[in-house]
Amino acid sequence: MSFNLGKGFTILLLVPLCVFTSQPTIAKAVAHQKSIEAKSTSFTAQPEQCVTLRQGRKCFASIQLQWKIPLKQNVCLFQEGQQKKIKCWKNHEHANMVIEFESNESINYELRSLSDNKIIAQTQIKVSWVHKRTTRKRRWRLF
Amino acid sequence: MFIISKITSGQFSKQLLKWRMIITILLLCFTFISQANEQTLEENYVDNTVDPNSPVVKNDFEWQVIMDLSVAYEQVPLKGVHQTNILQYFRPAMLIDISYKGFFLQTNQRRSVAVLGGAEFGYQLLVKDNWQIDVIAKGYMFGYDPNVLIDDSGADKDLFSGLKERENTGGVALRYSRYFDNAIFSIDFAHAHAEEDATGLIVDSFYSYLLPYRNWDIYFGGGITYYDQDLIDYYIGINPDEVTANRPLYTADSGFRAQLEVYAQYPLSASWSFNAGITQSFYNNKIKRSPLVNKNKLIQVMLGAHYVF
Repeated sequence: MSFNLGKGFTILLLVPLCVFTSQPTIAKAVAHQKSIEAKSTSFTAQPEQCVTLRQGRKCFASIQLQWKIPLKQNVCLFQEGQQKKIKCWKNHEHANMVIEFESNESINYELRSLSDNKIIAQTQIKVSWVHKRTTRKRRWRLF
Repeated sequence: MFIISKITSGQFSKQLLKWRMIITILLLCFTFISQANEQTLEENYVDNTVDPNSPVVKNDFEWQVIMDLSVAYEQVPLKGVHQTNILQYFRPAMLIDISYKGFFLQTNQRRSVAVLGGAEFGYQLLVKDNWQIDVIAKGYMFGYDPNVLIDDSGADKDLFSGLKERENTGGVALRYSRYFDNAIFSIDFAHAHAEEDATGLIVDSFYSYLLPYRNWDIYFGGGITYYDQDLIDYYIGINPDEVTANRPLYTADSGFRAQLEVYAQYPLSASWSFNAGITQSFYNNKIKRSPLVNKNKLIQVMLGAHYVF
C-alpha cells in the first residue's frame, strides 16, 4: 500500500521540519554573536577605586576610562541616573579619556548608543575610605 | 644657702590661693554652662524629651585600632641629649580609640609608646553640638632616667650621673572643647602629679584647624601650655643632694610652652595612610638657666604610615 500525498503536502511537511531543525541553529548563532560582542566589548576605569581619609568625605582622582565595542557607532558617556552627556564619540569603536572624579560615593558610568540610548557597557568607580564615620569628634595633636 | 623643694608655709598659702581661684573659675564656668544648658533644653526640648547629644544616653560602642609605623626626629631641652642610633628614630605603636556610654580611651597624640604618654582616658560630662566638657586622665610630661640618657642618648656623664630618675607626670583634668567649622579649640585644666613633691597645675590649650585639599587633610595647630613651678623644678631643678662641681643648686620657676604645628595625612589605600608632621615648640627662656638645659626652641618631625584595622 502506498500513499501519494502530492508536492503540496511535502512542502507543508518540510517547512515546519526546517523551522524546527533550524531554530537551535539560529539561537546558537545569536548567542555566539552576543558572546563575540560581549568579549569584544570592554569598559574599564583605571584606577577603579578612589580612597578618601574619612567616610563621607569627597574623594578626588584622575581616572582613565577606556572602552571598546565590536562595531563602529555613535556612543555617549553618561553618569548612571543622569541624562547629561559627559562626552560623545561619532563612529568610534574604541576610545579613552581622563575624567576628574569628585564624589563621596561610588559612581557607575554608562556607555550608551546614541541612536537608541541603549546601555552598551558599564563600569564603576568605587569610593572607599580609611576611617569610618564616627560620632566622636577627633582632636589631632602631634607632639 | 639652702633652697628646699618641699612646700613651705608661704608656698602653701600661694598654692591654696591659686587652687581657690581655679575652683572659682571652674564653678563660674559650670554655672554658665548649666544655665546655657537649661536654656537650650527649654528651647529645644519643651516636651521633656532627653537631649540626644547627652553622653549619658549615647550608647554607641565605637572603636578603632591603628598600627603606627613612624619615624620621628625629636629635640629635647636637656643638654647634649639627642637621638644617637637609628632605632631611636623608629616609634612603632598601636593607637587605640574606644568609646562607650560617654567613656572613652583615645590615643590621639603620636606619643603612645610611653605608659599614659599619649593615651587619654576620659568621660564626656557634657556634649553639645559645638562644645563639650570631659574629665580626663592622661600623661602630660615625660620623665627621664639619667643613666639611660648617658648610655643611649649622648648625655654628658659628669652632668647627669648621680641625678635621681624623674618619673612621668600624669594628671586628671577638666577639658573644655569648642568645635568650629573644620577647627577645634580645647583647654585642659589639669592637676598633675609626678612624685609626692612634684604636683601642680598644668593648663594646656590647643587650637587645630583642618584644611582639606583634594584627598589630603592638612592640620594647622597652635597651643600654649602653662606648667606650675613644682613640676618644672622637678624635671630641671638641681636638688641639694644632687649638687656637684658641674651641677650647682638650681630651683626652676614655673614655665610656659608655645607650640606651632603642621600635620598632614593622605590615604594610600583603604587601610593605609601616609602621615607627616612638624612641630616647633618654644619654652620660656628661663628654663635655659638650669644647668641641665641648653635649648628652649625645639623641633620635632614625624614621617610615617598608619595601618587602620
